[in-house]
Amino acid sequence: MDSDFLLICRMKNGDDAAIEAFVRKYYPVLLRYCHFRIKNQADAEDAVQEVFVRFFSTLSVYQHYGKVQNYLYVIAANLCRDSYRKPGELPEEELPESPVEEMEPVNLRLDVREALAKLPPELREVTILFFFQEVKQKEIAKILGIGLPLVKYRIKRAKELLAVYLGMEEMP
Amino acid sequence: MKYRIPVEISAGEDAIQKTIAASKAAFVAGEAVQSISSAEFLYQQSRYIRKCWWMVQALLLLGVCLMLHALESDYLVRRTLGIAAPLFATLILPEFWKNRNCDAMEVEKTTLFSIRQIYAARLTLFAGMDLLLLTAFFLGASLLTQITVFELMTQFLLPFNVTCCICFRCLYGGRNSSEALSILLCAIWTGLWVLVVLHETIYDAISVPMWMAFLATSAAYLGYTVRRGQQNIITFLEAKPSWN
Repeated sequence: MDSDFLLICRMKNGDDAAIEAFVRKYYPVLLRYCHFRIKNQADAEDAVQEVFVRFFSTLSVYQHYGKVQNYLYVIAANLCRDSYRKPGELPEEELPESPVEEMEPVNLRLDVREALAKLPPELREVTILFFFQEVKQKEIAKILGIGLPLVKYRIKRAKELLAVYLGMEEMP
Repeated sequence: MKYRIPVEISAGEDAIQKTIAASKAAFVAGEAVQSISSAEFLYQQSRYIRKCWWMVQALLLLGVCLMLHALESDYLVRRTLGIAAPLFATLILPEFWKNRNCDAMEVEKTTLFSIRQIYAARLTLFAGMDLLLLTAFFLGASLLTQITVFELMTQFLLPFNVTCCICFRCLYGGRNSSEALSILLCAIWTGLWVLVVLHETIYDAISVPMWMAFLATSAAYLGYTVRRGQQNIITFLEAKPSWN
């Protein structure tokens, strides 16, 4: 019985504190995911809110078998795919605040984001989950409803393309 | 270079607060839409009850019915009914105590429905099924044997009611060993009852109005026990939530 199971049971019982704890627990990871998918802080926050709204609307029929985080990723992935189809350029002011001495990593992030935006949608989806959200390949397959070999192929292909876009040697 | 780049995206407190509020609202709205009817709830609960005990109860009544048909002596009829009635009630004990034995209270406490609702639904199902079985038994026994409905009521329904009172008092008593205690008390009660009905002088001394009064009292006390138990059920069946 994992900690999420009891949290979900409490939420099903209408415990407000549990709902708040749940949102606070998963808000940052979902925001990071949506931010990479949507590339706009305000839209990403709206998307995350919508993910939680969709989750809580059907909470009474939710069956907790695996990781709830993966279930939230499924909702988020569908939402980003359906509602935020048009890829937009990421304005520089949308980047997170960083100290001056970390300018190099910020530039690198900007490059990575631009490279990410150039990827085909199906590769971008896998790339965000694998490289930025650190989701396991098997779980990505479940979240996206595709086979594990296809996930592996897309990661490999994404690596090759990112290496080209970033002007780097073959990535490890 | 590091391939997995840690990227921190700051989450604004205002946005989190809005999301929490929206989540709570969505939960409430979702519950309102997906609330089930009483009949659906009863059906849902019936799926969690093991039906084998009802089968055993039905077989017991069938056996008693056939025995009554074969028995000639009033003495044996009384003894048979006196033993069968508490046995009939105690056969359902494992199902009532199942939740306690399996430590399922914590899970039930945290589900959408309260323990009171769950127990009320199960009591309704058990009562409904027992009513059905007893009606069939009374009809069968009165057709197959010479026993009158009044005799069946005093010699079967009265000990049955008292047994149920003992069981419910123990169930709602909150002790961990209440299942064993209830079986012990039921056994003592059965012995006492058999002694009473087999003692001709005592049995004959009790007039019809007195039997009726006993029956009515036992039924009223049973109703009171169940009602009181249902009102207080949370205080003694509630498990300590493990997240606190």
